[in-house]
Amino acid sequence: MRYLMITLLLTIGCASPEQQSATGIGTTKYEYSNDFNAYMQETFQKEVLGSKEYFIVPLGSCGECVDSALFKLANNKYNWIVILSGETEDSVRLEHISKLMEKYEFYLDSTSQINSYSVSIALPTLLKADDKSIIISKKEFHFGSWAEFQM
Amino acid sequence: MKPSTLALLFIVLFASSCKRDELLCTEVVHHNLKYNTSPVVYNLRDIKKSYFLNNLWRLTYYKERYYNINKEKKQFYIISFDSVGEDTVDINLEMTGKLPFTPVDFSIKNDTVFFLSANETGSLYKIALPSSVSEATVVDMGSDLVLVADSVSVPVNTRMNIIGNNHLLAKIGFQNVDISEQRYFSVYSLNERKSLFEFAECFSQVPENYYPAMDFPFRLDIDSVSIVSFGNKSNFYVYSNLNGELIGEYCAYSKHCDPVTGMDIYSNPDIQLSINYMVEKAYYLGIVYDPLTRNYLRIAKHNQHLHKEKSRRINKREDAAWSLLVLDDKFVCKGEVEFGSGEFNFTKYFTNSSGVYFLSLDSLSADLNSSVLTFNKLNLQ
Repeated sequence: MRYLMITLLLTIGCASPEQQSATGIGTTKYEYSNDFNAYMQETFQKEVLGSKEYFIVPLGSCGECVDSALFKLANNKYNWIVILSGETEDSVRLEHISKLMEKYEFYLDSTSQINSYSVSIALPTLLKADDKSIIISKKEFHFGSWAEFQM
Repeated sequence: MKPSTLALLFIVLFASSCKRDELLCTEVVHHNLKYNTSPVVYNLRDIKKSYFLNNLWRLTYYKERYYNINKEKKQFYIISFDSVGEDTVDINLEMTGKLPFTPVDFSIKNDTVFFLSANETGSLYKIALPSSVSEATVVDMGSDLVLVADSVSVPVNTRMNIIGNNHLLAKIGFQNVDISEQRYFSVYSLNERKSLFEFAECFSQVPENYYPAMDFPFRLDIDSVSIVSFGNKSNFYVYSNLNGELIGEYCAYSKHCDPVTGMDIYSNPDIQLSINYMVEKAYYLGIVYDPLTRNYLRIAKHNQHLHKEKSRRINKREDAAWSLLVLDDKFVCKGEVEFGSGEFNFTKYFTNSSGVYFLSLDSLSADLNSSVLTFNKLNLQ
């Protein structure tokens, strides 16, 4: 059980919804708004915008979570700003990325600068900003998380 | 004797057999050994730098060539390092091939490459060098056995090795048993198609649900022995790969490492707290064998303060000062060599017949598009 939990912590996206709720991870309060804002400013020269949602995909994280996130983003249209961190040479992922680049306000952090900031992001994650541009909540995504976002 | 007394006696005996008291490491004399380092510049001829920096670090030296896998691209690489001068080496990509599965580890023995494929229940594949990777064939392990390929949380050098006389050392479990409970290593005879023995299960004394898992075993296989060490323990254990028996319990203690347990991930579900923990705390990493000096080198990361720059960037675990505990071929600790912060990446290294090489830290921060990596060869004085 212990090693399942450790696995969950790093690859929570690969876990079932039941396992996630057991860890208390779902939509949670976000404590790192200033750090995320610094990351946006220093990496992309962009301020966090009020009442916006940011979807961050660390390409080096849980493979199934990344694959499902890229597929969903490429084949749907969510009202999100999308940030990819890291690199990929996988042809399927590249195809999805080329599609989603056309659909979203999109930023690429190819050198994974995000890892240098205390932003608590290790999986595909949706951050929600309030009307004062403060990120107030965070939701981590696994392949099962998309059910509530079906369109 | 009453059955209840007998049962109690059995439990006490079992518990005592699992309890391994720390050896008195304070008795180890710590000489301050000196290693100097000589930088060697590696020119990447047709390989991207990001391949070395982001990829699974499992660079393996075998018969004048280096081998590695790329999990994401499902590829197998053969790389040659060609000296062009005393301190300059060209890295050439000799062969790459797409595997019909996702590799998470590999091992080379007698011109055969064995691959462990991904997923919680993995499979074992093999190819004969220099065949094409498309000729990889699955190794039939028997109907009731499964390989545990494990998750990203498991250190790379704890996954699998081919040892001794065509024996597989890996996490091997049985079908219909909860995969999360199958955490111990077994030795499986590929010739006889049967599990030979299981390594002792008595290591873990850390509470459940802790991360980083400081008690997860690092493993180094050298010929007929397997050396098992842990992030949080001075002691390490040497097992025979021939019969699985414990040959000896040894100690390599760094004065910079106090035992740490990891964090309770139920009480602290925020991943950033675990990341910060790994940056701040001291712990041991794996043991490296230096073929040139025949020393074993245990890597010890030191404590460091978590700090934010003005820009709110935080330091990383690779920024910490660190040590090498130098052990002779009888596993006696000869001393400790200390390295300051900001010089070498103690998580990325390789060995060959001429010694041990650690990646320089500035290779990480430098331009990803550059075609130069600097490794530092360790020279024991």
